[in-house]
Amino acid sequence: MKLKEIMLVDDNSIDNYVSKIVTEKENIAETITVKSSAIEALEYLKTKADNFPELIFLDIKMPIMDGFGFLLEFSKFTVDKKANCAIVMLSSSISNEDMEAASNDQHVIDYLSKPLNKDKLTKVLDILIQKK
Amino acid sequence: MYVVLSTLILLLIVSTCILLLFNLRNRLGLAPLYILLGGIQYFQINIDYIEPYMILGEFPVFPQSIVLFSAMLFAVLLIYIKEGVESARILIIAILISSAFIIGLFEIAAIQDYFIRNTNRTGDVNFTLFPNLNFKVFFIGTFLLFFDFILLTSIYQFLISKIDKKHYFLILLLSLWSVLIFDAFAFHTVLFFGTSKYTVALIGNFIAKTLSAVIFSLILFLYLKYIDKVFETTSFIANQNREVLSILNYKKKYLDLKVEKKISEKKISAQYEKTLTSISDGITTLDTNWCYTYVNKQAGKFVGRTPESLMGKHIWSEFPEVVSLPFYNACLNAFKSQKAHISVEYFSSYGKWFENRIYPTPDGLTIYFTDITEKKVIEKALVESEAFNKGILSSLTAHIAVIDKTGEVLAVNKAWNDYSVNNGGHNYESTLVGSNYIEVCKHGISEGDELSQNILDGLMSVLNQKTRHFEIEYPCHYKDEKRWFTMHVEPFGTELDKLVISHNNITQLKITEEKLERTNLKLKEAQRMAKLGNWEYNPITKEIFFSDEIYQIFELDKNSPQNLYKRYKSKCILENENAIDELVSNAIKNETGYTIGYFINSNEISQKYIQEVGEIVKDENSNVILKGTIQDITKDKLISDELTQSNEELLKINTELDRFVYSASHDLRSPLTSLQGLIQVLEMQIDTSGKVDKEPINLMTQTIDKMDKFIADILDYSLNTRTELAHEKINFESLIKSSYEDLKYMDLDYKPKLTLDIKQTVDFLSDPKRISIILNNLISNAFKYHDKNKKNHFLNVFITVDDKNVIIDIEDNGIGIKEEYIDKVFDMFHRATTLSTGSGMGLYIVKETIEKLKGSIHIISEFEKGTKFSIILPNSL
Repeated sequence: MKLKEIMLVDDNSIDNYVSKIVTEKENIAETITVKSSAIEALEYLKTKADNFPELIFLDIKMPIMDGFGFLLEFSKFTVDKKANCAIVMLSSSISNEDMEAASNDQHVIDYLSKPLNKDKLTKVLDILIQKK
Repeated sequence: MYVVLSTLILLLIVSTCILLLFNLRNRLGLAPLYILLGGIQYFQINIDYIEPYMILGEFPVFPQSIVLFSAMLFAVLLIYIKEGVESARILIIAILISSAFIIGLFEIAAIQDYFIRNTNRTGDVNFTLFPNLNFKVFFIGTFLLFFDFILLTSIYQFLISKIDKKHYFLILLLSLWSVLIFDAFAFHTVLFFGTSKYTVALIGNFIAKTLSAVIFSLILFLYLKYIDKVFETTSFIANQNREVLSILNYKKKYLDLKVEKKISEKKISAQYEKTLTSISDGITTLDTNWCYTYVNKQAGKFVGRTPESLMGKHIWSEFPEVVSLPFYNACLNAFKSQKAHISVEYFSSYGKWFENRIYPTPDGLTIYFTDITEKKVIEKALVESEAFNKGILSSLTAHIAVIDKTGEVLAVNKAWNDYSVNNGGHNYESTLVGSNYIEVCKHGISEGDELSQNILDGLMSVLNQKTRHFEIEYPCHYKDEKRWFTMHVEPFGTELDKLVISHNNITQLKITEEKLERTNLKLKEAQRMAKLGNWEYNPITKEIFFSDEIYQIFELDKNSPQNLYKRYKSKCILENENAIDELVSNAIKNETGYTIGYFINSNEISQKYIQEVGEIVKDENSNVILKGTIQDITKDKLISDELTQSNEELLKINTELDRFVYSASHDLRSPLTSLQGLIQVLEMQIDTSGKVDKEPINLMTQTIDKMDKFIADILDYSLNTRTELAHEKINFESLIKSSYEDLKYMDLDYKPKLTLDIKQTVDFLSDPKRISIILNNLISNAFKYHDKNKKNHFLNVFITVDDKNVIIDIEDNGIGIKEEYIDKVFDMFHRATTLSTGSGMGLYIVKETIEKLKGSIHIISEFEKGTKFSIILPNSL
């Protein structure tokens, strides 16, 4: 299976670089969009006329607006736009509170600790397939 | 001589005749006496012509005339004395009439004789008319006689009122003699004055009449005294109380008196009747045959009969039931002995007590009944109350005595006597009845006893009515026994001139009082030390009580007259001035207690901090009373404030530290993960080229993993101290399996055989995060420290769950721990083996976490053989 678009949202460019390479290597998406902040990502989504990316890897700790801020804004989009969009938290935090807060959001399908690797990616895709 | 003798015989005959006739007056009446006396008078008048007797040879007297004349006076006097004024008067008139009548008859007879003689011409022609009678003498004599009678009775009456009755003979003699002498004097003066006969006749008469008077008065006296026994009768004396001239004016008075007597008799009898009927006593009279002759209204009422129905009836037939009573015998006795009897008895048939006074009378008996039921009841009550008083007095433990104003002991009760006896002979004699209490006091004073002085002063002040009451408390130790008494003195008697003294033994009270005082002192001391005072407030009376310590704490003057509550409030520093008032009124309204802390102004240390506790207490009448304590806790307050402050600071520091640890570990981890990602990318690119030795890259990954694990440990530690305990169901099997699975990939060369045995019938509730920290650490240790020299590695996990605990045994056959290190394996940063790849945090975190869960851990290990951890954790089911 190949996804149309995956979006990476992280302020750490190294992590974005690693995630992008891992994702490209596995060749699961036609397009990989990289955004270095939550605000940038939201603006991208707002300008986007067609469908949202099918998978978004979202970091939690980010300046100005963190991952949970993004989730709050994201929930305001219309249902049809985000119908095929799933979010995976990708964080270096192993804090329980963060995990719990994330699992309470209906759009978040998994919580992964960095770095992203082949195994983790396979696991996410499995969930996504099950969901569909 | 013959003359004297014949005169005496004449005198005796005449007087005997008079007395004889007088004595027979009851049978014959007085008429014969009157006639006799009339005869005597006539005879006396007609003996003038006879030859006179010469007394002493020269004084001529007519003894017959004198005897007869005296006899008439004697008779009149006798009648006057014995028969009264009326009879005497009749006698006098009778004498005059009968003598006049006899004279008249004689004269008519003489005239008749004269005319017969003249007609016959016989006899003496010279015979004169009225031949024998000297009319001059007759008239004067008669008149004088009349006057003599009056004089006689008057003189007698006069004398008897003046002279004592003992000299009665003298009275009689003087009466007769004075009248006889007067008569002689008057008679002779009228007839013979101026003649030669006058003086001698007078003297002769004096002598003869004196003798006559003596003899007649003697006869009269003897008769009255010995024959008539007139002196023994009471009426004699009464009759002598007549007026001197009663012979003349008695009549009118007598008539007046008669009328008056009749009226007063009527009045008296009416009053008598009225008195008898209205009297509260019952009165009956009985005749000698025991029949009623009189019954008054009250007597009838007592027996429930009308007086009329009882009259003439026989008492014992009418009231047969009375015969068996003592009353019957009393009546018989009174009747027989003729003496008054008094009987007091209960008549059960009337339900009453009667006092019966039984008086014998000539006609029978007179009985007075008095209803004394009420008196008896009162008497009985009185006797009872007296017995009661006596009983009380003797049963009292107080020593009571009555003394008079001189100090003499008049009466004492039993306790007083007993006390005196028990306190030795000296005491007994000085306090028993008849001794002098004041003297005892004075004796005490003379020995310098101050108490005696006080007591004496007290006694005198009550005696002088300066005070109504005197009371003193004094010790009176006897031998080894400690004793205290109170003495009360009260005035007594209608004049308040006596004293009642009572001594009360108050030793027990005193001992209790002293104990109480000691207890109070201790309490005060305790309050002072604790700076704690107690208070009471009565919402009804608004009374406030503060213990001494409260005055101390609030620095208030205990004796100030100003309002205590206002002064108390003025010291308090409160945001809301009425906070205390509201608190108190709410407490009373809701019947709940309260606790409040507040500052008060203090002169000593500017401010004090007070803790006040109030509680609702109900008294015996279920009235609400507020009681509580006030404590000066300024020091505690300062300490607790300081503590709170440092605690808050500590908390702040801790939180900051936690936050720092968290964010530091996170921030430290972030670059590590980036590095891990980069190594991954590098590996991927090397894989494609396949020309480079991958060992350095592997070592890099291991180093980064180790560092990552260390950071994770720190995060776990911080999590354990920072987060609250959760209570969730624990699935041991899945926890252990996932932990085992995660570790399986850690070292591909090592795969211990896992044996998992879980015995569980009830749920186990605990904190899953912390349980997994414990299990992960212990299981990872088994992986890390496996013995490479052994071929068959095993990992046994035995879990037993009950409703109280879980016992987890984790056993391996790893390298084991050297004995000397066993005690230190739980220390932070301690590593017991050079083989260790750990942070030195693992077992420390395990121990801390188990302690947080209030569990325990034991370790059994043998070097090169294996290690067994035994954990017990409580089930928070």
